[in-house]
Amino acid sequence: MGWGEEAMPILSTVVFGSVTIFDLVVFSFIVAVSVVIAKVVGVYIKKGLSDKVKVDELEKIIRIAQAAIILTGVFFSLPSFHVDIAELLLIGGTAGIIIGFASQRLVTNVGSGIFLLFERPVKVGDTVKIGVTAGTIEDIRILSTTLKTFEGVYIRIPNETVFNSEITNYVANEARRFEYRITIRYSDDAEKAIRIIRGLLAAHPFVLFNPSPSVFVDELGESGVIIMVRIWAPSREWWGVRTEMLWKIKAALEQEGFRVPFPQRTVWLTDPTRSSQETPLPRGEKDKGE
Amino acid sequence: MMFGTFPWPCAHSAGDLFSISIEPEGEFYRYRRVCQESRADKHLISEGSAVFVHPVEPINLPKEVTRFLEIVFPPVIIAPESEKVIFLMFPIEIGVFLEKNGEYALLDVFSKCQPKYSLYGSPENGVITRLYHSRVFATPPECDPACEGVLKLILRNTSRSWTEVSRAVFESYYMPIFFDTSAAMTGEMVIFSKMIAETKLSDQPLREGMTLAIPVIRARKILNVDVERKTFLMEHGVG
Repeated sequence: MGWGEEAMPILSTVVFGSVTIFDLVVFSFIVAVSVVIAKVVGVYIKKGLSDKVKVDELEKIIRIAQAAIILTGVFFSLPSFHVDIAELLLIGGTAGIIIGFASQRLVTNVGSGIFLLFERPVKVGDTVKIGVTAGTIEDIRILSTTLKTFEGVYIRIPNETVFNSEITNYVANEARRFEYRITIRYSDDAEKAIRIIRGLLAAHPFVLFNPSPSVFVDELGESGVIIMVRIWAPSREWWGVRTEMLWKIKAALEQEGFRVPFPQRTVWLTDPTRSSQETPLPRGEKDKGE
Repeated sequence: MMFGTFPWPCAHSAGDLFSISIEPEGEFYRYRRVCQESRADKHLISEGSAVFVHPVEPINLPKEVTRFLEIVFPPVIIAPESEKVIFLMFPIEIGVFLEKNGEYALLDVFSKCQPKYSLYGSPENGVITRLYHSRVFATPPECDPACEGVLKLILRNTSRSWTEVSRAVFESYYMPIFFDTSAAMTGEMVIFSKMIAETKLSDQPLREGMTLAIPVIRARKILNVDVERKTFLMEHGVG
């Protein structure tokens, strides 16, 4: 009988088997202390390594350290239950099967989580679209994956859903391409516009030299000549490059006298008093793209 | 003098290229730097013991997106199983480091040259590189010390065919840059075939009396990079 049980007889009350309330208190205390230690260690690891290792690797290191500390705590607290480890394994195995059947979804999520960790279609910090949800991966846990959408909303997706969904990882490849369609008037010099755009692209550090950007007349549109601009940029920088270059191209073209044409339509009006042989006259017609 | 070590506090000007100063301001210090239109202004609340202005790995500007340097040059053709030395130019950035009790910290990086990035290989398997176009020289060329350094590159063709070489990609995590009045590196490229070569930079200075620059990667003390990894395998061609 422990000192606690002597001081407070209620603690010696048997709960099940030979386990008393005192044993439960000791177990809970040791586990609670190990959880606190694990949290403190996690904070120290984060403080010490946050600027030295990548975010996803840091999270893994913290989790492994915390799991090791808590498992050690559980291991040390087991003798208070007078547990035979061999017996525990046997009971645990049987209980595992029962729990497994009882909680299939949970087990599926765990299994999916493990496969996701091995296959690594996404990493913490990646910009992705999972099913219809797009955002940045915040965390990949054993049961679920959490995302922060571009609007800053927290979304938790069960790993089973992640595993079975179509995943688009926008930053999995080193580089990605984006394009603009720039429309100029028919009266403008398209070759000059292409030269101006090429000059801007060459001057930007993150517009990749190889694969080289392509700038060409793509279409003779209803209102003007459409110039296609295709740019490759590092995947993690493409959005910044895209937003920056679009305005720079617009400003540079305007400075050189190019104007964005407004949509126009030529309307032909027929005069019923004139012979049908005569050609109808257009009213207010202007050249396309003026 | 462009590079060197200066006592704390300091004011240093490299002609029209750049000027830096650390001056007392009340209880603290103020760091100012001017390089063409680019300026930096920082408050330092602690005192250092020395200021180092060194050439650094050219991967920091405008922000770090890669750790690889790619030098593209006019094609040179090397005979099978032979060895030749060529000289190229490589870009540099200028780093300002603070030091106290043997601990270095990177305070500022700047350059008067415009960086350009590229992709070596395919978007799926390639790597983003800091790109530089160089001419090929038989002897160490004169270069703009504010922008460029000299790279002595030993080409070793171990294949049994004539090989055309027009690019070299280097790992910047092990990039020993030496300097005196200008920066220099020594490297080698072992060519296995037209598609595969291995590059490595060595810790040998180009000239006697050169000083080893402080590597940015070591000043940052990043743990999860293999700073001893000295080679890069070029698997996407050398031409």
